[in-house]
Amino acid sequence: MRRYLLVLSLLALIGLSAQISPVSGQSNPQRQVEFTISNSNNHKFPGITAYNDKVYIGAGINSAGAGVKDLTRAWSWSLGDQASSVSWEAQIGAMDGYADYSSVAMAASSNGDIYAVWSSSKENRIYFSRLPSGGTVWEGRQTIASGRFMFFPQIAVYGSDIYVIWNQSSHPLSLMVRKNGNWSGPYLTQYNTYSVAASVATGPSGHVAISYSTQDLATAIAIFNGTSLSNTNLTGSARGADSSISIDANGKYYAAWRGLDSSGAYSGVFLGESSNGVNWSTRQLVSGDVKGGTVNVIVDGGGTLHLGWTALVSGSLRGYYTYRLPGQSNFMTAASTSTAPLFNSRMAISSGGRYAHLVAENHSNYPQKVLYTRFAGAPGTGISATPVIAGGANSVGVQGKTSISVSFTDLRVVQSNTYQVRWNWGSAPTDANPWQALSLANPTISVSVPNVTSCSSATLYTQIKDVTTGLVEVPAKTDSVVIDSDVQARARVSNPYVALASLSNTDSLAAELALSKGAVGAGDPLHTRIAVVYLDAYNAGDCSGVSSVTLSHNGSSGETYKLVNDRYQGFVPLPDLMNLVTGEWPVTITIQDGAGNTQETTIPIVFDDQAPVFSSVGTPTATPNPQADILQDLTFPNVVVSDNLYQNGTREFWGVWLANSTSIVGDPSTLNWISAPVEDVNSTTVRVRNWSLTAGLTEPLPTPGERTTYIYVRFLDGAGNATTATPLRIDVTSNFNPVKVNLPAVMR
Amino acid sequence: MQRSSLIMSVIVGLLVLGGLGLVLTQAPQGAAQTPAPLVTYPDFPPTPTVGPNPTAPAGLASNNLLFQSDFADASALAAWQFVDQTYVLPDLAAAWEVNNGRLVQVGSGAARNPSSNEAAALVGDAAWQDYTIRTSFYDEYNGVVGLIARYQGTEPTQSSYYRVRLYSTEHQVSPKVVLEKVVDGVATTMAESKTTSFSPRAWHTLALSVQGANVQVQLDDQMLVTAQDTNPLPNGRAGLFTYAIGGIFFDDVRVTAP
Repeated sequence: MRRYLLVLSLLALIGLSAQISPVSGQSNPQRQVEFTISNSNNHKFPGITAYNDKVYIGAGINSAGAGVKDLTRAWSWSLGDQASSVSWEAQIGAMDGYADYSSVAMAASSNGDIYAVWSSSKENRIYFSRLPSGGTVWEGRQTIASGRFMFFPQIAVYGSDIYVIWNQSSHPLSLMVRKNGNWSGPYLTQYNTYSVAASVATGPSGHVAISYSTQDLATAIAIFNGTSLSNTNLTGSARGADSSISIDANGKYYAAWRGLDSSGAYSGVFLGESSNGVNWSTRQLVSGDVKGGTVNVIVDGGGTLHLGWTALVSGSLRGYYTYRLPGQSNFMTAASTSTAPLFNSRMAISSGGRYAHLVAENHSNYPQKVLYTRFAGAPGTGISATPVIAGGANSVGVQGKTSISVSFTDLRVVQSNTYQVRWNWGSAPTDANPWQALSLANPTISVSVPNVTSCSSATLYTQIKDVTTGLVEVPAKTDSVVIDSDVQARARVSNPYVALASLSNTDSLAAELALSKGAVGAGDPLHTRIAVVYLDAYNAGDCSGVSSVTLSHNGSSGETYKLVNDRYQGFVPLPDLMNLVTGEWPVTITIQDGAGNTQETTIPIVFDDQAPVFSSVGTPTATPNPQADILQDLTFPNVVVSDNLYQNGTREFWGVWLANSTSIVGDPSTLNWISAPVEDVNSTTVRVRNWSLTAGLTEPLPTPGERTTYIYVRFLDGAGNATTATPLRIDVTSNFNPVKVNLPAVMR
Repeated sequence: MQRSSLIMSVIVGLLVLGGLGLVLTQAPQGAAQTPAPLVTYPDFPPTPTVGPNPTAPAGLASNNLLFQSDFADASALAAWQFVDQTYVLPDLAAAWEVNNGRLVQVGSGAARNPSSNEAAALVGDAAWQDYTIRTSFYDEYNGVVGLIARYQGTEPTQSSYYRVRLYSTEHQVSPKVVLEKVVDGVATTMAESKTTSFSPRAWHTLALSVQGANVQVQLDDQMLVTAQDTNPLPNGRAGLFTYAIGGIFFDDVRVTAP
């Protein structure tokens, strides 16, 4: 009895559960934007494609306006998938053809390249061109085929493989295939075609399928196996036309077409589905007077089926759009265009299926123009995750790194499902790129640093997979970044007085540097007698710019200086100042570029605040310059000066500090002292060349004539400290013959 | 205990019956019944009914009747030559049918797709000189209607004739009436009016008269445009004109001499 009750209860529950709707969270599609493209005069059979969130439209146009039927240009327009107007347009290529047979079709590759094919019917040619990803200029057109009147080309792309089909009257449909840059074909369908546009689609693993209308008006499918087309007649004669085809992420085929009757069982919109391209189940979705060109079907990466078509409803020929979520049988109530009459529509979807974009010929204009309509409403069930490299930085520093962090935004996933991601630099990932786990809580992965030249851009392609359902994101998403692998910058620290010597005005300098006024303005660039150095850091071609420079000493925290306009110049304290002692004080310079790369250099700065000690010297001599005795070579034999830190060979002084005087003075310190480096004559004798007897004198240059100049001398160490002993004095008698410049004589 | 089991059985039995009833009422009801469409259109008003044709004025039943057709059946098509005035592939030629006692432009080719082909239906004798061609028409969604007179030539894109084109009030260029002379396929505007046009989904009459150098157009018996041609085309057949978009009916065509 209890078992009987249990069975009955289960039956009751089954009956009641049949009433629970599985549909939730979906809304009917809505028309969002509709406008006519004003310069699309006389176009026929517009084409459309989308890549991520951008829409591309193509059509043949003429520029002469109404009354001129022939088309002269294949033209393209582009807009964002939520925009309300065209944002860009460009000519794809020249065209010469009858308006009714000169159409443009477009397709987007997984890396964002846009491809266009068009018929130039008076030239009997099919042309092809590519708009590189992110570009604004179409490449030069290529002729794919020429011959007997060809029209209504269509195109599909898989990876870098291109598939182009076209009609010829009373002739099979032709397929040309480009793989590895080489075209092959044409491959022909089994049946001759009726003169309406066909459709070609690609799918995972390189599936390629064509739907077309046979000459006796059947809807037929042709599956390309790499070398030929296998054909299936889906409807029988006089039962279908204006078809299209799409392939989902699992390789399932969807075809849609219209019946030829205006009512009844052979009217309306039909849908065919096949898991293998051979065995098809077909059914009528809606009856009625469907006419006016292709019934567009597109399945997005999440399995949502999108339909767009034109139909005569309530006495008007409008465009319609609807969608069906995966696992559902019913489509949502269709949304319509507001404009009529329309025909020859084509559709694209963007943003993973959130938006459907319909273009059609708008015959309420004269001449007819392209009408663009955007619909929204599908929840965008296609899984999607947008990669962001290094937090969205324009460039990323990879110096010393093996990986880069990539986070994912705009996640469109089912939170309870498990996801994986695969990635590849430069092209969409393939089976050669392994899947790795993707945490929805922390959607960040590390990818290896691409092998590219520093400062060049690299594009990362990512694809996520819903492990729970097996769905794979199509197409792959991308992000680009400039890879910066090193620092291109220069920086130095040096004796501040060497830098001061080059300054014309030192009035604004800090108080400690005021010591320089009248003091030694030279020395060894690596020595300093005050706790200050001169810092000069600048960008030497770093593509990310140089942001800062830090000075430190033996691992101290250091002081950081920001570069302004890619340069820093100034007097800065020695690092680790609190612990500064006389002696070697290596300064480590760390430059950081805008991408975070660093460059480290250590400069062996010597802090020396002690004066050298003078012991003795031989008799200094002054030797006049033979050309002008106002210049004297001063020679100092057997100099004995000792210094605590400076050493150049056996010499422990850097140079001399000289002051001219026209008379003997009691306090030489009031003279104008000038530092000068010495050169070694031998191991004990040094010399100063071409010392001017007027250097530092304030009075006017004396006229030639014999007189005596008194040169006072002190010795300097590398930091510019001077000996404190009573200065030497050299008495020089000369005629003050100035330097002469002899110019060559010119005979006229 | 036995009573409680009985009560439970009754409750469960009611649940089962209820559940099964719901399943049966909601399940597909057999192949004999039309399944609900899987796609539904938004709510639109029903397609307007095509009312009766306008009554032809008594004066047209004259002794000078050159041609008339009420399109009683498909045999009426035999009197007509249908031509496309723009380049068209053979399987996409404009298609015309007789339906419900009217001549209907039904699009192009066997698939009946709308097309922007300029489509003409010619009738009569190339020797016709002065006459009026008058027709009733009903535009459902085509948007363009016209008449032709003194049509000469065998190649449609290179022929010579007078033609009037009218755009419906739903067309963006409307109101617009263009009377033009086409010589060897090249059209020149003789007169243009932007004051009135015709409303779709209603019956109208349109007449084109040629008498010597004078060309006149009347819509619903009101004069629309007139023109004089200093070098008039001498003679030729009469015809109806529209685009091969479909959605337009013609009836009660009369060609009368003055």
